[in-house]
Parts: sequence; C-alpha cells; structure tokens
Amino acid sequence: MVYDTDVVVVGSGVAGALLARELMSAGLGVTILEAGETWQRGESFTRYMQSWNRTITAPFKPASWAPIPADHSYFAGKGNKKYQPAFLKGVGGTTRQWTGITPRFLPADFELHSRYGIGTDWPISYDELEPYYVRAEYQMGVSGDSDDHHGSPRSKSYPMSAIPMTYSDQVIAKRLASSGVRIASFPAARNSRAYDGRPACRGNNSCTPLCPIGASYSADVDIEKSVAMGARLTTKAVVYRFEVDKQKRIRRAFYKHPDGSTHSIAARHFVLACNSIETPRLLLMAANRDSPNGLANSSGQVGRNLMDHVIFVSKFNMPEAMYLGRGPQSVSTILAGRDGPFRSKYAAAKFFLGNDLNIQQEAAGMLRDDGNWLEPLKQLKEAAIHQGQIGAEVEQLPNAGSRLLLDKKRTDPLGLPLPNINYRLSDYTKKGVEVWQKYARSLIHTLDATEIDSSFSLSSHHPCGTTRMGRSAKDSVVNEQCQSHDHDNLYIIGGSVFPAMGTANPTLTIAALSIRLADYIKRVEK
Amino acid sequence: MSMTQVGDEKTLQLTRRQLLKGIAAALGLPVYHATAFAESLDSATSTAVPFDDFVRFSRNITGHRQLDLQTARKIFDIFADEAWGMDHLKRVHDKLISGPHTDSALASFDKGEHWFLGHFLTTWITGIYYHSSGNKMVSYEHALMHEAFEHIRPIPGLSEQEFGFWSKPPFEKGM
Repeated sequence: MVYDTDVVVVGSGVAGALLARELMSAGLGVTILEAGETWQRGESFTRYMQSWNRTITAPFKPASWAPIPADHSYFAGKGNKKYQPAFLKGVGGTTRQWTGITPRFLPADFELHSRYGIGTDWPISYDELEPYYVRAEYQMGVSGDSDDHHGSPRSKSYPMSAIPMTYSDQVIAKRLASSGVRIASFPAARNSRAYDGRPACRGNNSCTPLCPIGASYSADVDIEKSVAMGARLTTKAVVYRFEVDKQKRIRRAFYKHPDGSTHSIAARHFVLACNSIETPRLLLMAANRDSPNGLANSSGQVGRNLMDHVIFVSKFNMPEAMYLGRGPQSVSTILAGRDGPFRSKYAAAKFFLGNDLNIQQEAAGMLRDDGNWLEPLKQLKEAAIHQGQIGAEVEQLPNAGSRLLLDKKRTDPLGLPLPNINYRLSDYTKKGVEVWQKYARSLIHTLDATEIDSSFSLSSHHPCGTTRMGRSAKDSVVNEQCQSHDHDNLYIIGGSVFPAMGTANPTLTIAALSIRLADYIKRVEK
Repeated sequence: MSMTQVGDEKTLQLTRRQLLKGIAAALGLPVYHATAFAESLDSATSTAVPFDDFVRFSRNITGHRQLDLQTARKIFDIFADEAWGMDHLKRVHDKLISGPHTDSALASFDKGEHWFLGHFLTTWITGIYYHSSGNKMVSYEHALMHEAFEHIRPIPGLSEQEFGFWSKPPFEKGM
C-alpha cells in the first residue's frame, strides 16, 4: 500500500503537538489534521479587547463549521444540564486559554483502588510515568520548586525556578502558618525566565483566556516546531470516519473541509488527540458494519466514564489589603486534601489561591446599587483590594453511566452528529465537596475574613475518562501504551485515556503520556 | 462625581436622598455652561445633543476631566443610535441643572431617568454598554474602572512590569 505519511495525528492540542514534535525529531513523517484554524496571538488579544463578553473563548475566532461547547447548540443531554466543559478547536487547542498550572499526579492517584478500595487503578504506575513527566516539563517549560515536590517525587529538577508567590498569597500563608497549613507555589508551564524563545511572565493577569506574550506555554509552539521540521499541518479538517481493512488495521482517515468537500489520507499509524469529548464522538461517528457500536469500541467503553473536576471558589474580605489581580491568575496551592485514608470515603481535592480579579464584573455589579454612584471608583477599589479567593478542584470517580453518545437528531454544520452528554456526579464527590467547602470556610475563619460569595461548577474544563486505559479489552479502550485494543495501528492520547483522574490539572499528565506514546511508536517503526 | 468629596467616610450610611444631593453638588461645578447648551439646542433638533456638550456632561457626571475623546465619541454614537438615547440624556441633564434647587430636580427623576444615570455611569466605568438592544464594547483600556487601580495593577493584558513584581505590595504611587 502507498502511504501519504507515516503517522496521522488528529488534533493539534498539547497531546497531538508534543507527539508530533517527538515523532518528527525521530525522522518519521507526520500529518496533523486540525478541525479548527490557526490563530495569531496578537490578533487574538485584539479580538479579546474588542469583545464585550470576555469569556474564555472570546479571543478565538470560532470555527463555524466545527462548533464547540461555547456554542449553545453544542450540548444536550438527559443528565445534568449544568455540566458544560469548555474547550477550543484551533491550532494549539485548549492550552491557548488555560491557566498553565502543571502539578503531577500523586503516586496514590494511580492506585486508588489498591490503596483505598475505591475507583479504578491505572495499568501503569507513577514510577513508570515519572521520566516522561520530566521530559514534558522540559519540553513545555515548567517553573517549580525543585526542593519541594508536593508528594510527587522527582528524578530531576525543574527547568526553571518557581513562580514567586503573590503578595496576597504571602499574606494568607503567614496568617495560616500557625495553624500548620502550608502554602506553596504551584509548578506551572509559565516562564520564570526567558525559555525556549519565549519571555518571562510579566503578570498580565489574563492567563485565561490568553497570555498576550507567550510566557505561558501553549501547544501551537510545538505545532510550529513540528512544521518547521517538515510535518504537514492541515487545518479546517474535520475527521469523521476511517477505512479499516480485514486485519482491522486503519488504512485511511476521511475528513471534511468547511465547504463540505471530503478528502482522505493514508498512513501507517493514526493517533486521535481530540480531547475527551471529541475523541469518543469521532469513534462513535466512525461506526461501520464490523464495528456497529463505534470504532475501537468492542468493550462498549467509548464515551463512558466521563469525569471532570468539580470546582468551587470562595471569595472573602480580609481585614488587610490583599491587592489581588497582580501577577498570574493563580500561583499558589494549599498543601492539603490531595491524599489520605479519607479517600476510601470521600473525594480528594486540590486547593488553590485565586488571583483572578475581574474588575469589570465587580464594577458592573456594584453600579447596580445607586448608593455606589457617588464615588464609584473609590468604592470599587476599596472592595476589590481586600478581596481574597480560595478554591478547590475535587476528584470524580469513573461511572459507566456518565457518558457521551451521539445525538440522534442534532448535527453540526457539516452534517455530523453532535454529542449528547449524560453527566452524573457521584456521591463520593458530593461528599468530598461538602467536606472541602467546610474546610475552606474554616480557613476563611482562621484568616479572620468574611465570606462574601461562593461559586460552584460541575466542570473545571478537565473532562477525561471517555476512552480509558486498561489491561483488558473487555473493560477498556486502549492498553498501557495508549494503543487501541481493537486496532493495533490506532492510538488515543489525551485525558480521555485516564482511568482515574486524581486532583491534578490533567495537562502535564497528558503531555507525559503523549511523549511516552511517541517513544512506543518510534520503537514499533524501528 | 469622584472629584468632589461629599461628606466623610459615613457617606454610605446617609439616606438615598442625601446621596443624590451629593451628586447634585458635584454636578453644580462651574465647568458646565448652561447658557451655551441652551443656545446649541435652539439650532438642533428637539433631542439633539452636540458632541462637545456630551463631553462636558460626561466630565461632570463622572468627575473626570481627562476623558478619552475617542471613547467619548463611541459612547456618543451609541446613545445617538438609541431612539431614547439623547432624549434621556437631555432630560436627565436638564433636570439636574434646572434652577437653584437641584435637590428638588433630583427628586423629580422618574424611573427611566434614574435608570439612565446608572446606565451612563456603568458605560463609562466598565467600558461596556450593557443593554437589551445588544451589549457593545466601547473601550477596553480607557474604561474608567482601571483608574481605580492605576497604582495597584497593570491593566490585564497590557503589563509592562518586570517578572515577579506581584510578590511585593504596590506602593500606590508606582507598582
């Protein structure tokens, strides 16, 4: 058979970008198919400044042919309608608008069932993934405190020293120290010095939705490097089905352009890196006569076990000025809640100190009261400078009933079925939220502060689990190498392969798995 | 309004009427020339407000002398496009400057005029025109709200500060 390329990578987010770069470095031919288009950073920032509705997707010109959750028509479902994870479709994917926090998983996160009798174990251990965490940290550029691993042991120091805590974080740290509560700077894919041709952070406080100067890593950086090495990038390419031969090997990927025209590409290997919603959507769409329940879905697990971090944030007024909004939107963590025997009963949480001061929202809210019309700026400042924020992301367990299906009626502009999501929050997580909200309130009390507001969301925009990794083809979609159990030249990478999600932001673990998969494909190709 | 200190720290505990009296005191500043405005109206349509008068009105209401004129023009154009825009502006303005007893003028505000004043302030302060006819971006960097934090933080996305500045408190004269 004549191949157009060695490896087709579907999706240009962090998973696809790092994989493409690794494979290109090894001399393999790579074609990246991206549903969205390329965004220029400067144009994105201008777009953001010109938008009245400064949401996390505001800077990025939407792909009308490939809708995302920000489009109201995207989601539907019988389950909890308030579950709305956000992601982007465009070169660089959702790392174009992330906060950049990159903690590793804890060793216990890989062994939840073995250690605590709950949830599911990963088929690989922390120790097996650790060298890839190191490589991911160096490739992306992660700043962290090499003397304080926060429970995730390391074999090498961080490439850059930690982002310094904000003044407000230091105030909280000092006040909580006597209670034995420890605050520390998170590791983050944010430059603390010039690195990889990108500048050090200047504290723009606009991380989400956009770092205007590229101090925060985004995957378009690795897509550019891959293309510079010879990779082909085809944008506006929406993959929707595959040609499979009698040996169950994938031969071709078919994709549509916005004008509806169809194209195909033949390759030796196919990697799906489309995120935890779009990857299962694609596999289900790609059902054929031999795989009527979806490609790579002999286990019936494609689309199931959808997990996400529940997030809550408490805002409070401190007796002293805190000056939030200076520096990155979140720098520090409270070292509590991520692990312990309690995990047999309720979910773990990762705490963060917020530094996201949205003065436009504060001002608009304040001006609804005519009592604030007299000296609005003075009152805005007084209210804002005393504000503090503590939040947490709480772990969710896999649940086969929490799943994505294809909608039977709704389609996107290209005629492809949209997702239908039934999301269920486990009692384990609900109990965890209750416990950790109470803990947050106790911290606020210790700070001598007054709570003013509390928000809650079912999604931290960390969806995962929908094409999970496992040893058995009966209950998982991919094996320990992220290779499909059903098709030996089909691979899946991203949060969708997580069998358990822990409390860490998923991006660094996705990056590590991606580099690990690249090594595997290189070995196969040798 | 912020340019005039009305009362002391207990301002927020005053009654609403007393607060509006304070607004009137600020609006009574001698910068505004009622005669010129009246004359310009003679040659304008019944709801027309010349741009120069709009700027003066904006300065009086917001208490800011140095308003960005491009932003003023954008807000002016938005209000001019609204069927009720200039009419409300004129009514609110006329009532606030009418006669020596501005507190009675304020007491005569109807619901719409009261709403309009808040809407006008919100537009200048947030840089966003919020309305059911369609929210509009007016200005990001010239929104007056940034002035409240002028010596505390850079405008988000427009920082020219050095790495790590956030680890120290602002001096409130420079960051």
